[in-house]
Amino acid sequence: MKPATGAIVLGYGSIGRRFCEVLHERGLALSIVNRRPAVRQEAALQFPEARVAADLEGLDGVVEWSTCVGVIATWGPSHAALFHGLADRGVRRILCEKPLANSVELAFGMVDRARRDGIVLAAHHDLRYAGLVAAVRRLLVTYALGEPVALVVHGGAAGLVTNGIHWIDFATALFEEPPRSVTSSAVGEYINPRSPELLFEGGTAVWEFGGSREAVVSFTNRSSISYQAVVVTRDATMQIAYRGQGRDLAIEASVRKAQAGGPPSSRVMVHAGTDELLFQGRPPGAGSFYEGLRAATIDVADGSGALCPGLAGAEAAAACIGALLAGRERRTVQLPIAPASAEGREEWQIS
Amino acid sequence: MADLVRSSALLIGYGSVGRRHAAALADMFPSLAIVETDSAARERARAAHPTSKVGSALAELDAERFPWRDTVAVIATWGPSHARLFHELADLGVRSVLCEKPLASSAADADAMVARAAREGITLVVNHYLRYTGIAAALRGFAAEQALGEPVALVGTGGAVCLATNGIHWIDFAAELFAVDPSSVTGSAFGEEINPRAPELLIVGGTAVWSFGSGREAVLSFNNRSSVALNLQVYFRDAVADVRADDGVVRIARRDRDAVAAYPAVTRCGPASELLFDGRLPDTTGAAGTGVRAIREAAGSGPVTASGRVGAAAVSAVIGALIAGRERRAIELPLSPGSPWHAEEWRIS
Repeated sequence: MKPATGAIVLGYGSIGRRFCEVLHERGLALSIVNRRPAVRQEAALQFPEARVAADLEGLDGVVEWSTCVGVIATWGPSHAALFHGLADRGVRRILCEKPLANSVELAFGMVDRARRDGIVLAAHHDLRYAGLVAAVRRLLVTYALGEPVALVVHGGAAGLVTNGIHWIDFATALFEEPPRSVTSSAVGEYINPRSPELLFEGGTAVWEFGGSREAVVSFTNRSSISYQAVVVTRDATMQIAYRGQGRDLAIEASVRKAQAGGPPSSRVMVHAGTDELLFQGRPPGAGSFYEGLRAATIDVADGSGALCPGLAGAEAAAACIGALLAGRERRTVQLPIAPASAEGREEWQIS
Repeated sequence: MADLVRSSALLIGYGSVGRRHAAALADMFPSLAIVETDSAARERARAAHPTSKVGSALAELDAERFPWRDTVAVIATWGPSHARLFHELADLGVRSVLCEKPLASSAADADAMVARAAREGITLVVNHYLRYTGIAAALRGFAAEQALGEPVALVGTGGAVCLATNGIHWIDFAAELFAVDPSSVTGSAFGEEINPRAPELLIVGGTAVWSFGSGREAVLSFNNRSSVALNLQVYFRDAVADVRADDGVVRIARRDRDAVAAYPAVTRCGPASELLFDGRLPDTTGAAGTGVRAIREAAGSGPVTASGRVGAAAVSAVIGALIAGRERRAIELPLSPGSPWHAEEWRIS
């Protein structure tokens, strides 16, 4: 597939703007779609050379669809329809913001169509594009820490889907398999700063992987403290958090190992504080959030889409929807959820 | 500190925890008897406490002459034997009992112990050492003083520290912190027979999520494939506290106040960059010495910090977590007599 020569960005919110910046820097002919007139005006001011339209129909006959990369940066509930709208017009490179869709059926329907129609479909899970999984693995090898056994992410109102989806995708990549089940106390509340009709999920979700490995995301909607993530290995922990803001927003990590005198030991029950600091700073090879966004855009615009394929997006969306279902029904939900089942068809107000 | 109203001490169980109790009891009381079923442990007890009567069963003590009513008894055996030993002691006339955690190995047994203690005027204390550090109360006090609001979440992560063995202390800590018992629990808890203390006892790994109403939660995530120690945070609206149980050190930090004022929505998260406190809060201690305070309360006539009721609520919470993991669904707490799991016994310690 030849590199794209044009780009259509659907949605001109905080993330959509950043995509526009990257695509503009790459020299692609930019088209921006947003349903709100005031936002379109703002987009036209910021990118005077861009075509700005209220919907896809407004670009029909104007854009050479097949040479464009489509970037979907609207709220989750609109993603599937916009994907199909682009696909119907012949767009064959599509980068979609997370969550890929707001139902399991819609998410896997997008993946199926992409496969069928030869569309490069990628999900924008920023931790993958920032190279965090590979960077963490390098640190594990460098310091001989063994395999990760748990990921625990906890903090304030970051949203079990809004931010949690990045971490369940990270866990899936780190553990090299999708989760098998999820148990949770997730509850959605209408406190989403992006839109009053979108839910903001708080509570705790526990995703189980094989070999007693777990990913736990616990975000309380009652606190405003930034979250931290902890990768746990046999005798060490790796603490991960975002630092900085704007273009400098980047992951930092600190790796700590239990001191001699405790582990390593043949007995896992010997507990020791992880007092020995092995590493602190930005993990080698890990980029900033903005660098990740650039990498995502280029990956799809150039026709690869390999860094975070649509399937990863669908699995992560399904894992998050499973957590919401588990919280509502107060039971463990087996994963994956069958797309054609009643649970698979249910749509959620997530973003 | 409560005045002692008992002048004799009896210790059942001379393992690692029992040894510490024995040392404290020997300092506090003129007479100490020790009961231990393991012969090697009995020899160690005799060597350490040569003036004490050491036997293998309560029956070896002279039932007629032993001052049962004037004795404080400490039960420091494995959990599954606690209820039986409590009732044996009560039958013999003992009216002051300190029981190691868990109070019992079923919710029904724990409830029965509490009911009998109330009925017969027995002072029943459970050794939940975190209550005796005073950290939860002091943290609430500090939060009030600094206008941090109520605690909203507790999250503990670590290796194979066991959701029962250590988790019971922290679920009780959460109950004290939130000033209410948990109303339900869900999670992935499961037991494995990898307990170094006794092969028949479980080490419970996985994650348990206890709900306390109003969106408050306690989350303990202990992985049986890791050996790292417990790390614990308590969240407030705009602050977070790291709590260390061993030395009682608490580190409390809050968000930048101007940033919070500029964007007050709870969803505008930020780091806790302003350090408010680092050290031991006033009137708190580390773990050392908490056992002595528990013994003094059991042997005294004053108020009790960790009552049998507290112990029973924690047993219900921990067993509820095990049931939630097995049944793969949320469990309402406490486990009541009408619950199908009320009488189910678990090999926890």
